[in-house]
Amino acid sequence: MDDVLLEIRNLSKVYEGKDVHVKALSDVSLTVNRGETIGIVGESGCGKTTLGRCVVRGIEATGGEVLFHTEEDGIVDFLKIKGAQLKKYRKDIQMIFQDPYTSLDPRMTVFDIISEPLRYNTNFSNREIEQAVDKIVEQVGLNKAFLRRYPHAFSGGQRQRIGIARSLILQPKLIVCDEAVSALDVSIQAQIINLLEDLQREYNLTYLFISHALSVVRHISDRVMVMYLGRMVEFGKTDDLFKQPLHPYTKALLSAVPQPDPDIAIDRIILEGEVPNPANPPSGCHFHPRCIYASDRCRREIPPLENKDGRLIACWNV
Amino acid sequence: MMKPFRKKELETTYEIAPEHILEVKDLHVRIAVDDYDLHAVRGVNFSLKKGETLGLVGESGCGKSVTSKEILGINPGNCRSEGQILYRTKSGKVLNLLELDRDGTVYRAIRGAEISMIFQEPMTAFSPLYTIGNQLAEIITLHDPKATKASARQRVLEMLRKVGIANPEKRIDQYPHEFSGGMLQRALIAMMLCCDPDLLIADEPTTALDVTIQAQILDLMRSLQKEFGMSILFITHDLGTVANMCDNVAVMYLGEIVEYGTVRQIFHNPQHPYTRGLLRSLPKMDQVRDEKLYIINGVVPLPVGLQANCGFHDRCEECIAGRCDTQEIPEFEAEPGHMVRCIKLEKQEVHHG
Repeated sequence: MDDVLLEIRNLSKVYEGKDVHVKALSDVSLTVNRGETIGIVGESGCGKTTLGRCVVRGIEATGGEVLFHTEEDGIVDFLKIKGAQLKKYRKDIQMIFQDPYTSLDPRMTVFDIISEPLRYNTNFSNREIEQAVDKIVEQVGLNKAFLRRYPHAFSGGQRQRIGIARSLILQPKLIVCDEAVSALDVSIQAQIINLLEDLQREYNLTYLFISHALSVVRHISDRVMVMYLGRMVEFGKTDDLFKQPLHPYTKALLSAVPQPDPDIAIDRIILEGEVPNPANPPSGCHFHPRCIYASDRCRREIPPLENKDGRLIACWNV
Repeated sequence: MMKPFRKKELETTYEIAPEHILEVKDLHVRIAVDDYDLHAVRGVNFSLKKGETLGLVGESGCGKSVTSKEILGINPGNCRSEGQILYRTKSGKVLNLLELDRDGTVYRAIRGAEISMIFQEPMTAFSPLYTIGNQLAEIITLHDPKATKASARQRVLEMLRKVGIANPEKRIDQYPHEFSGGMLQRALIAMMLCCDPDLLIADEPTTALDVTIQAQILDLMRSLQKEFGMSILFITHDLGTVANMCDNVAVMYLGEIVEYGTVRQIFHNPQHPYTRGLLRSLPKMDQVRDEKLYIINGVVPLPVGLQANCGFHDRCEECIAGRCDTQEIPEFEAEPGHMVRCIKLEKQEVHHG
């Protein structure tokens, strides 16, 4: 078995409207290794959620491949498989959602929510299902006695644990965490982050960790991808990227994070304006209207992703 | 419609320190929900100087929003309050806001014009049915009977320009759905500026925004505060924002202020175990990746049937059985101006003595 779990190649998603044509994701490529966490950051509208959803096939990508390295069938394009094969490999890719208040069905008991994937995907007897649920519930730190209750009886942190238990019950290989801790309070957020890390060690899980909270991404990720308007602009090892961001957008993004220390004086780069409308993106480098280093070339030509000492970066000025 | 009847003769005169604009004294708020009686705010005291920014921090359910809404008198009818909220009006008179009739002319003249509020979700703060200009001009004509349509529009344009909205002549006639989140928050700030308030209550004003837009909005608020000299009560759960925006910080837990001090005292020398826990549980930008995050065990309890003890005792690592869980904890002064509600500090005093 090789180290690679997933290869995303030129993944694209275009939304076609009556007279608009929105490129939510253009040609994103990424290789994900087993047991690692890839952080995906960017502002709203940068395509990070679209990327996650295309990978789990919550929405269908319009181009590209998601090559899944499997033990039995070798390399499988997850976007092309159908029927029984799709069902077989869907189990391996699960998702944790942002809002623990809307992602759980209010009319199902917690036991039903957590066990539902087993009922659809396995031939487990009721007894086996109960055992599996009991095991996972204990692992995510929920009280077994409350399994017959409904989601409304639980707090936000507990609900997120329920969502995590559900996503883990089929023993997936990859979990897409879409803003999994963003809706939680600080003290609860720390509990869930530690839980995700413990589970990762135990099951050798791979995470795609989508978040706008940069300090959380910094803490949890091995490698980080920065996206802007549907494109990858920078990708590298977490420590390198946070210590020495190269792309002007990454620099601005990192400097905008307020530090919990009144004496840290950072040269804050305050970006002018907002993320442009993706239906009508700027020419050349999408970031040029907000970039202080923008040159004529940036306005004309799209910078390619280039490898600079192991860091991928799309900028003419680096 | 049943409303708490609060009208009392406004004969009592109050005094507050000359540099203060607001003093909240022993504020209690109880909320009647179904069979419960939630004691959401339990004896909160704080004051606000002119031009000062006070951060009110805490997790959901700590009572920070209820406290701020009580100042404006906009808590729902099932809330009962006790204590005093003393406010110095523009005319210099000190009023106890809790004694005013919430629907009376005095309160309505203060609300919006003197004490203003910006909310977390700019998308829901505006009505989708009226143009931005329409909604901003309404505030001006409401509070200034002399304002004409044309003069109100001029002022709205001026304010939109001030908050950095490009092309205000076009924007003024647009509807909220044509604005992005950051632009709407700017428009909301413009709305609050229209009446030149003395006190601004900002309830999680940047929580719903992206970090780059958040940096823009915080920058804007700082420069407007400098220009207009207003006081800001800044409510948030984001400690990073607090460290960057506030002069003083009050940390709330379970309806009480458990620690109060200058921003440096709170961030460099936190004393209460809850404050320390909060700061330690934050993922830091410069942290080594393999370090585990510090965890405060458990969750915030429901404020029902609370005993006279430390509200944090069942989550606290340093809890002293027989004291923290049974006795009311008074305030201790760690340093001048640094107030901590924790029994540990009493011990310290004994040691030093």
